[in-house]
Amino acid sequence: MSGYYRLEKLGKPGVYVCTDNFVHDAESAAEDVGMPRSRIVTVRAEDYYRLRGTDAGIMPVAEAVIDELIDGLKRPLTPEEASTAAEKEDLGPLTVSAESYRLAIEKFNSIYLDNQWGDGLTLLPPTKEAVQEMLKGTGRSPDEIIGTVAPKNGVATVEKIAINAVMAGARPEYLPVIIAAMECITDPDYDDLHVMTSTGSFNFAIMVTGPIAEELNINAGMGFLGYGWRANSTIGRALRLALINIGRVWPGVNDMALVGRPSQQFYVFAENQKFSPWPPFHVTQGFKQEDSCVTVSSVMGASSHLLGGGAVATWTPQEILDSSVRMMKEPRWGMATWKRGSSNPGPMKYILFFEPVLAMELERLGHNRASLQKYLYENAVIPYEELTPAEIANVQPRIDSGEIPKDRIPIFKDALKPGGKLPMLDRPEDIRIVVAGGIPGYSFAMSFWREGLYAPTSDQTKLVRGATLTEAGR
Amino acid sequence: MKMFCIWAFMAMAAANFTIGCQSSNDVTLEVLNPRGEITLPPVSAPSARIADLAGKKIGLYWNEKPGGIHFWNGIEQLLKEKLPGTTVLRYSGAFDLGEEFAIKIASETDAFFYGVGD
Repeated sequence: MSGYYRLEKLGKPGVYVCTDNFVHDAESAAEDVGMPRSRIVTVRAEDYYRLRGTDAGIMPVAEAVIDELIDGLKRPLTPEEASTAAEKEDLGPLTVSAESYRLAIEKFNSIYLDNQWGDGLTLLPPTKEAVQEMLKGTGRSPDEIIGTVAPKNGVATVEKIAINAVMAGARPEYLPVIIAAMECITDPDYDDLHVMTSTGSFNFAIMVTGPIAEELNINAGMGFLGYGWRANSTIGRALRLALINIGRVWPGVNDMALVGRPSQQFYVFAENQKFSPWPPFHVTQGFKQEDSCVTVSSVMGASSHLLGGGAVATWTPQEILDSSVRMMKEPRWGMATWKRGSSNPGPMKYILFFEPVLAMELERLGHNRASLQKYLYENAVIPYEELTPAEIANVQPRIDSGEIPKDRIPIFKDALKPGGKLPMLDRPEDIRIVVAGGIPGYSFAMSFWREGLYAPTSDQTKLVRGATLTEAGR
Repeated sequence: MKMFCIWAFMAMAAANFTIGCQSSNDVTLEVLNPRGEITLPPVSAPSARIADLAGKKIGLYWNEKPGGIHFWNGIEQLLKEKLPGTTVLRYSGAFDLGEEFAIKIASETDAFFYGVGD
């Protein structure tokens, strides 16, 4: 809708075209850009998706809307369409009265859930006293603005985050971690819009590293992506509620994930530092070893790339490295059309979840994170002789547009010669290696685009700070 | 329902919630609004329409996802049939075409259709 808006603002009458199951999304986006009464014409989704494969097949769909499209350009604006009046909303507290505690709680939940202010599960009431109690977990001011949340750019203050944390059932000592995650998500360089609204089932992986993870009892071992840990579950739920309520996102309205976002409390976990032979992940991002940090990544799905391990099959470290290399070559299907800002914006980043035994074995073999990144980067390559003309042709535009980092350009240029090897990743650091899980464990990967569609990055790491109830994160 | 009530009472007690309670049959909860403040941009109205499209240039913008190409081919064909005096110009690019591209399209067209999606 932002592109439509740009052209309308330049004085050109237009019509925005979408399928009828996306009309709420279009209307919501029209509000966001400041043109709530945009001209929108819909085509029947049921017909469009069935018939769009050929020119002849889709023609009845085009014929069904052509007159409406032309009319949308010609018919004068109604007074309502020409109006620039804006609606105001009241964000003050609500009073809920009932004959008993039980009925008051039920009534509160009905109001909040009917207003789409919840996640479908029962909520705890964010009374002023409960929110004050939650705020004791941080020394930061309740009025501090952490950032704005997509898609409607709602303002995330510390207090608003705390209100949602109360509703989620989080403990006050979790609040600094929740705030740090919100700092990641609202960083202007982080593309939270795409991960929250795309038709694809993208989701947030939220990794807590450093001593606060153990202090809060965030599960890093067996079942680390599963249920049962209050910290993992309610930190994730607090973030989900904050995004619903602060960003104003809702399924089928402006969150268009076709099959939803599996794990509605996100993937909240801790790095298993107890068994990791390497420094905490955040050290690779420039933080001190003793820091506590949160890293948020826009992943495409959990456990979608199984690399090996488990309690049944046998494995060797080399087999898992080979499996990792094979996985990194899979995105070749889109390599010829990688283009910044498009729906296929470029190469991947990976979080490699190495289970503890694998990590310790790799350490014994002399590896560290950097050597593993180098090995995988240098092996996830396509020989020049196997490249298609389209794949070769797409490298120079990516160099020209600045998508390939400057220090890597010589490598890509050298690859485009006989005997050369074109990397599947832009740089070794795009492979993020973390140790997580129990013994035995699975090694697997989550992937995400290196660049966002609407902002430069798809991951961020922030320092946990301001904690008052824990030793770490102060 | 019974489990829900027990859970709710326990949760409230654990979190030390304050609930106004005038009598056993009169409970009042004051709850804070979880929504973030939104500063929407000033509302703009769409541009004035064009009563007669004869001789005009109409732009068709699509974000390059393969599913839409055939649909827009059909729209182009039908526009040419229904509005023989018009010129149809095809454009494609990112979800948001960006300001520079928008200025270019605006300079080359009189009206437009815009589609993004799958």
